Amino acid sequence: MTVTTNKSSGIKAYGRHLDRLQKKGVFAGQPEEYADVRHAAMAAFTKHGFPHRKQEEWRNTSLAALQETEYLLPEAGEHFTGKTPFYHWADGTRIVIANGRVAAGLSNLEGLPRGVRVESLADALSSQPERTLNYLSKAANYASRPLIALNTALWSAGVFVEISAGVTFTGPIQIIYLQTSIDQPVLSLPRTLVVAGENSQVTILEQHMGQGEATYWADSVTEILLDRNASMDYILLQQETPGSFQTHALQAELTGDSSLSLHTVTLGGGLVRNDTSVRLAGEGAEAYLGGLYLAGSGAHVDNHTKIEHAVPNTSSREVYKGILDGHGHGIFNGLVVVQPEAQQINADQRNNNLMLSDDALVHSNPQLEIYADDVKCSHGSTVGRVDDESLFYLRTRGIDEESALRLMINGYAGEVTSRIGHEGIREHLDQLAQSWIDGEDTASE
Amino acid sequence: MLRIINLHVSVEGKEILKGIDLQINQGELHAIMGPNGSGKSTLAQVLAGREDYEITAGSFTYQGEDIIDLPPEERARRGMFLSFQYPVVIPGVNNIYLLQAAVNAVRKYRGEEELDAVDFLAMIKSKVKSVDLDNSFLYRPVNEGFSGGEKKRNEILQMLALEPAFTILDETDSGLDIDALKIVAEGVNNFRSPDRSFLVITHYQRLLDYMEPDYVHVLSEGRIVKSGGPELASELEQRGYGWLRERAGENGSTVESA
Repeated sequence: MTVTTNKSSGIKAYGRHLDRLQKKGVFAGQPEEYADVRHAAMAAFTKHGFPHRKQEEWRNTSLAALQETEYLLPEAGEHFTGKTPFYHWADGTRIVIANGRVAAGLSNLEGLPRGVRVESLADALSSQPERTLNYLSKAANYASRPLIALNTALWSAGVFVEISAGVTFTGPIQIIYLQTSIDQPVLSLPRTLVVAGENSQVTILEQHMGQGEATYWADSVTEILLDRNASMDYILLQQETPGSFQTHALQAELTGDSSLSLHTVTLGGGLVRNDTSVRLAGEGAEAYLGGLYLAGSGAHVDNHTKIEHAVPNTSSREVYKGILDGHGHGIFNGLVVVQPEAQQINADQRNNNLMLSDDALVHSNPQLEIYADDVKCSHGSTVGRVDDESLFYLRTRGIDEESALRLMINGYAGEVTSRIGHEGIREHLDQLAQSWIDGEDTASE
Repeated sequence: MLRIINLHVSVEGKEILKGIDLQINQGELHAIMGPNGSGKSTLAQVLAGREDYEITAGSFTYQGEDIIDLPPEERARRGMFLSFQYPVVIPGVNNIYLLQAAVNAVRKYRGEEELDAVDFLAMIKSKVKSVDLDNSFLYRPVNEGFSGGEKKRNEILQMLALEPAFTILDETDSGLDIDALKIVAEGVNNFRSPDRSFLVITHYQRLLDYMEPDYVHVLSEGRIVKSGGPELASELEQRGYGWLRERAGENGSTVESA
C-alpha cells in the first residue's frame, strides 16, 4: 500500500509543477486555449499514471527506476555556454535546445529560403497562436498516452518547422536537443512539430544527445504532418548518456500521395523507449521506417512501432536492425494495422538482430492486424550471431578475423543507413556506428 | 607448390578424407573429379584453412612449408585462393570494399604499398571487364542478388585481383550456362602461367573441355582411386563413376596411375 501512496504522490508532484510553471510565467503569452490543453493533458497523466509492466505494451520495459527519481524541471536548467559538441554543417540550418532553452548562439537560422520556417515552438505559440494550434497536438493524442500527456502539459521549449507548399529544402534542417551534466537529475521535455505543405520536399535530422555523466529523463514528443504529395526524409538520432532515460513518442500523419522515410538510429543510452506511430491516412501515401539500435551493457532499447493503413492503396516497409553486445537488451515490437476499408495495400515488416555476446538479450515481436481481405502483407524477424561461413569467406580473401568481423557488422548496420538520401548524414551515422562497434569490440576484449 | 601426404580429415566426427596423397608442381593444373559426397569440397576447404574440419592424420605443405597451423587469412596472403562452390552473400558490404581490403591485405603482407581508392579502381576496372561483369557490380553488396553465373564470375574477378600463386576452383562450373562457363574458363586460361598452379574440382568433364588439365584424379569415398592425363576425364564422362567405386572397395587406398 505504501508503494501506491508513493507513486501517486510522485504523480501529483508533476501536477504541482504545472501550477508552479504557470505562476512563474513560463507559459506567458500562450493562448488560453492551450492552457486548457495543458490542464486536460495533466488530468490524463494523473488519471493513468506511469505505464507499468502489467500492460502488454510495457511488458519488457520497466519505468520503476524513473518513477523513484525526483527530477528537476527544465526551467531550472542552466544556459549552455560550452563548445558545439555535435556534428553540423558549416552553414547548415539548425536550431539547438540546450538544457531546456533555445540556444541562439549555437543555432543558425540565417538565410532560410521563403517558405521554410524553423523557430521556437513556444514563440510560435505566443506570436501566431492560430497557425500553431492548427497543428499542435493534432497527431499526438494524449488522452490515453500518459507520457505524451506529461510532455503536452509541461513542455516549455520546442521546435516548430513548417515547409510551405511546393518548397524543396533538403539542406538538411537540424534540430538538436542537448543535455549537459548538472548535479541533479533533470526532466527535459523536447517537443517537435513538423508540418510539410503540399508538394514540398524536406530533409530533417532530429538529434537528442546527452553529455558526459548527465542523468536525465527526456520525455519527448515529435509530431509530423505531411500534406498531399509531400515528401520527407526524417532522421531521428539518439545519443543518450548511460545514466539517462529517453521516452520518445513520434506520431506521423500522412495524407494522399505523401511519402515519409523515417530513420531511427539509437546509439546506446541508458533506457530508451521509442513509440513510433505512422498513420497512412490518404490514398497513395507510403512510409518507410528504418531503425538501427546498438545496445551494449547497461543499455535497454525498446522500439515499439505502429503503422496504420487507414485507407486503400497505401504501402509501408519497415526494417529495424539491432546489434546487441555485452548485457545489452533490445526490444522490437512492430505492429501493422490494416483497417477494414484499406484494400490493396502493401506492408512488409522485418526485424533482424545480431547478437555479439551470449549475455545480450532481445525480444522481437512483429505483429500484423489485418481487417481487410485484399492486401499484401509480410513480416519476419531473425535473431542470430555472426555467420561463420561469411567470416571464413572473408578470411580466405586475406582479411584478418577482427577486420572481417568489423566489416560484416558495419555492413549489417549500413543496410539501414544506406537508405538515407542525404550523403552527409549517412556518412556521419556510419562513422558513429563504426566507432560504437569499435568501442564495443575493444571493450569486450 | 603443394604437397599432400596421407591426409585424413574428419567433419563432425565422421571421417571424410581417408588418406589423400597429391603433389602439384609449379605451373600445373590438376583436376579432381568425383561423385557427390566423395570429399572434393572438404579437401578444398581444408586446404584454404577451414578450422572446424579436423585433420586427424597426415599433412600438407605449401611452397615447402607446413601451413596446417596457419589461419585462412595467412594462407591467402601467401598466395592461396579458393573460389567457393557457394559464394557467400555479405549483406551491406560492397564488392569493391571487399576487393580493396583483400588486395591491400595481401599487398601489405608482401611489403608493397597499399593502393588508394583511385589506383585501386583503375586496376580493378579492366579485370571487371575481362569477366564480362558491369562496373555496377563493384558497388553492390558482395554476391547479393547475383545470379549463379555472376557469383562465379565474381569469384574469378577476386582471383584476378589477388593474383594468387595457387588457386583452388571448387565446382566453379556448377550453375553456369555455357556462355558463363566459357568466360570463367577463359579468365583462368589467360591467368595460367609457368609459376601459377591450379586445383580444379569438378563433377563433370564439361569444364575441362575449356580448361585443359595436366593431370586428372578421381576422388571416391575419401580416396584418390585413379590418376591420369586429360583423357581420363573423357573416360569418366562415358563410363561414369560406378566402376571406380567398385574398385575402391576392392583395393582400399591403392592408387593406380594411368
